[in-house]
Amino acid sequence: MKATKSEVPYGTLDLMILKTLANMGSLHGFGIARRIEQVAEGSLALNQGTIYPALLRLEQKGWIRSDWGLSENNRRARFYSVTKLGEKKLADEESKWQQTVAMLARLLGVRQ
Amino acid sequence: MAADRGDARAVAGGAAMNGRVWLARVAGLFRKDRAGYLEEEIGTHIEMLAAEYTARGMAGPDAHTAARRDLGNATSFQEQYREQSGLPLLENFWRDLKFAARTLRRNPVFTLSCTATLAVGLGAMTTVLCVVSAFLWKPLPYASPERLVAIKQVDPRKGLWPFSEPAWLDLDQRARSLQTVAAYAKVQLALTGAGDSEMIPAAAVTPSFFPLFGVAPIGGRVFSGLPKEVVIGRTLWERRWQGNRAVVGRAIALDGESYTVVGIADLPHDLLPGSEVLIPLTPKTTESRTAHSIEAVGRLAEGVSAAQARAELAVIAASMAGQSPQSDGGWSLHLIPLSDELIGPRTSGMIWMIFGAVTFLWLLACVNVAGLQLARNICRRHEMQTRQALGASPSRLFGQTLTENSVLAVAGSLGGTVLAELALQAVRGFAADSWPRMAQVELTFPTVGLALLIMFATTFFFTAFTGRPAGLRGGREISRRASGRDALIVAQVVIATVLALCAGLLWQSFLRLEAVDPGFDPDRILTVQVSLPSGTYDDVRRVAFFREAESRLARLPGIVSAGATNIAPFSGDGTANRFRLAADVASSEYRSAAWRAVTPGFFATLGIPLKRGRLFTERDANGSAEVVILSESMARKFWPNQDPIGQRLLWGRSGSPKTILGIVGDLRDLAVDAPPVPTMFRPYAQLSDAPMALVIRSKADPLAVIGDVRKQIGAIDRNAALTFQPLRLAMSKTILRPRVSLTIMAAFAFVALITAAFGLYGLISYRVNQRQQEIGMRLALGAPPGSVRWAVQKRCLMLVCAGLAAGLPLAYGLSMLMKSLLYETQPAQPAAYGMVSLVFGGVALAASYGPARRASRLDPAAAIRHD
Repeated sequence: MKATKSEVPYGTLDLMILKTLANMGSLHGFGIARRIEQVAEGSLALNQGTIYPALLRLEQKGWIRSDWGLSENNRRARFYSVTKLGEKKLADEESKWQQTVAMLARLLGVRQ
Repeated sequence: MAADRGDARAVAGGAAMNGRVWLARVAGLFRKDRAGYLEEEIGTHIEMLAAEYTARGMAGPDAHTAARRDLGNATSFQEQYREQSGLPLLENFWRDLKFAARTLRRNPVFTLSCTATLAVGLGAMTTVLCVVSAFLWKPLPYASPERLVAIKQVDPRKGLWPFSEPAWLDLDQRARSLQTVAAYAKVQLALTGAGDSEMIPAAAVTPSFFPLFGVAPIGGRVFSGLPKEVVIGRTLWERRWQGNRAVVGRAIALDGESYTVVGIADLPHDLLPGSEVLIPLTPKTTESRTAHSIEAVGRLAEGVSAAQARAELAVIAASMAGQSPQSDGGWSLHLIPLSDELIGPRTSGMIWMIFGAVTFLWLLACVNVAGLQLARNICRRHEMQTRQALGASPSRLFGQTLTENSVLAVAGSLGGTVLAELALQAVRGFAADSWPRMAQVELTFPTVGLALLIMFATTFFFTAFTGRPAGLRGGREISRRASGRDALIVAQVVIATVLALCAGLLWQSFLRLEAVDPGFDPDRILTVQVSLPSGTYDDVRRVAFFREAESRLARLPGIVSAGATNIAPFSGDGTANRFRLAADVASSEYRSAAWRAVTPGFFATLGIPLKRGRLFTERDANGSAEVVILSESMARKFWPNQDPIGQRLLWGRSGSPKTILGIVGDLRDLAVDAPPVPTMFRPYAQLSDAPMALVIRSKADPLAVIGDVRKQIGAIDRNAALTFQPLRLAMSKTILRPRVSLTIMAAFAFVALITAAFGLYGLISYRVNQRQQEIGMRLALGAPPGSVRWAVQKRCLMLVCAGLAAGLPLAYGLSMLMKSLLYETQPAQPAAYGMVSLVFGGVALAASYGPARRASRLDPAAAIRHD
């Protein structure tokens, strides 16, 4: 593992997936993984397999839904998209995350 | 960020699972294709990734490898996915369940002993819980039961009494804090005429009794205020008249008098257990204030507290005492909730005793099962070691054991509930007529629930104790535990020995009590309590009345003979007087003995044998020589090694001399479970101030002569009040309490014994099974199978002997403590001790024989490998 890449921070994968789907519409697992890596611009060490349990988790909560479809190379793949509930939750989680980040920033600022 | 988002494990464990996720997961249980989805999705993923790498110029196989690497640890996330998609706890449980069912089926002896033991323990527990809840917790089935009260008269020494009739009338008129006041008196009535004659428990009740207990007629009406009306209960109606409503308006004969059936009703069995008819009770001011014969019950007025009612009762008691200082001076009134009155301190004491017994039984059952588990755990140590080595976590192994024990617990619960239902049927059968609140005792949800809760709590507790995987312990530890198991067998034998001997003693007492000889023949005897109208009889007329009655009755065709006594046997009454021997006239030393005033026909009628001398005749009358007859024990006690006949004793304080005429056999006419009391008999003609009872021996059914008896007595004096009772019934009533408590204790001890024997059998056969390896070794080294078998059995016998060596002295000590419970039964009986030793020796041999034989026939190589 390269030193420049960091692990997926604890508890952020679900939010990343949700935001990705909200921006991109319908995507399959590979697409989501690829998109997250692109946005991270090589700063994230993502075990791509771990998005599948995360997708299941989100689907069980009713935040996303899935349908079978055909991928670019004509293979059967599941396409995920955000539900109404998911959009609402995403807004909540985003603002919570902003608060956390801001709070941490202030905290770290004081420390310096 | 919310914790449930991040950590897959936390979510998988269900710590923060919301309803929607729960539903999705339950649905996931039934959608096994999910795992297939994942396969396909991952396949697609790898293909696409590989295609990308190929496009960048990587070779095909390399591209695929790289794609797999990017995906990460497939086993890990697939496992995570699988755990999340369903409910892992439930799925594990289901797997454990199937596994447990398989293992238990393979060990039928173990499974059956555990299940049977648990079923017996739980059955007893549930039964007792139902009985206790019926007694203590179930509200009375009448309107606003919390306001129902019983009221007693209290004498100056704080003794509680029923009411006298005038006192009840005072209460009824004055008590404002009571909405309704009623009175009842339990009686026994002889129902004769149509069909077989029988004694039926009955009650005389005031008209207010009906609304108080919500007794509404299902046919006819309640009392109109006329005398000689009767309301019959549903059970009697269905039994005697097959539920025919035409019985209303008919006349039936009760105690030889004609009563008109005015109605049919469901009688309040909680208050009057066993009662089958109600007759009117009309308290009169003219009755004596010292005759306390009727029970007062009532309902508190709306909004009145018990304390307020007590305050008012104190005022009423004071005014009663003021009006009749002779009878009621110093007396007060006592009010208690009716539910407390019905239970009574004696009954509740007995209930707690039974509760203790059942708790002991339950613990015994648990210890038994735990012993079997321990033994089995050690047998399974190889299995556990293997599974642990293959990576099963201790908690999974514990879960597995817990599941297995839960399966046993469920089987035991089913069996226990069935047993409890059977036991409750028996309880309803034998206790409904003698105990309040037992007619409706039944399995209820809360009690069964409580019993099951206890079952599963103890299961968990004992699993925690015994179910720890014995896997990774060293060999030394295991051998130490083997000796612990031997100790378990010894302990089991000790418990079983003590129980067996105690149960035997109790059972023997029970049989003795049933077969007791009261010193006379109680069959076909009818006792008739006679109250002559006060004021019209002097001593001479009273003697004449009974002489006339005796001779008239003796002439009746259905009657063998008749006599009279001041104390009817088993009537609950007794009399005693002091006396001096002629020899110690100079001293002032008095002795005391029971006495009876009897007519000449008394001894012959009851069949009391004359041992020496002669019996009374009509010539032993007032004015002739004063005489007395002694019971055997009296003669033996006061004239040891002498012939008392012809000697004299000095009667009472006056010391008037009575010549001893004869000696008769001892009788137990107070209580059959007490030794005979030394008794002196005097001729009624010479001691005629006592109230009397007739004893009549009939040729056939004593109840059949009641009508004739009433007619003959009525011909002498139609105002004589008569109360009838067959002597057999009075006798069985006196032994009811000891009989019931003996039966219950013996039953418990017996059940506990069976439980212990089961446990012993299971333990021993397991112990032997475990030694298969050693047996195989010996066989392989050339030992003859017979001697190996015997060596194994000998070891078991020795363990049993060790148990007996400790158990027999312990049982001896305990049976000495039990002496007061026993009836004419020697606590220490060598024969019983020998018998118990033989039985347990037999159990040991039987339990070890099968497994030892099997082991000795096995191929030695296979036996060595056995675990």
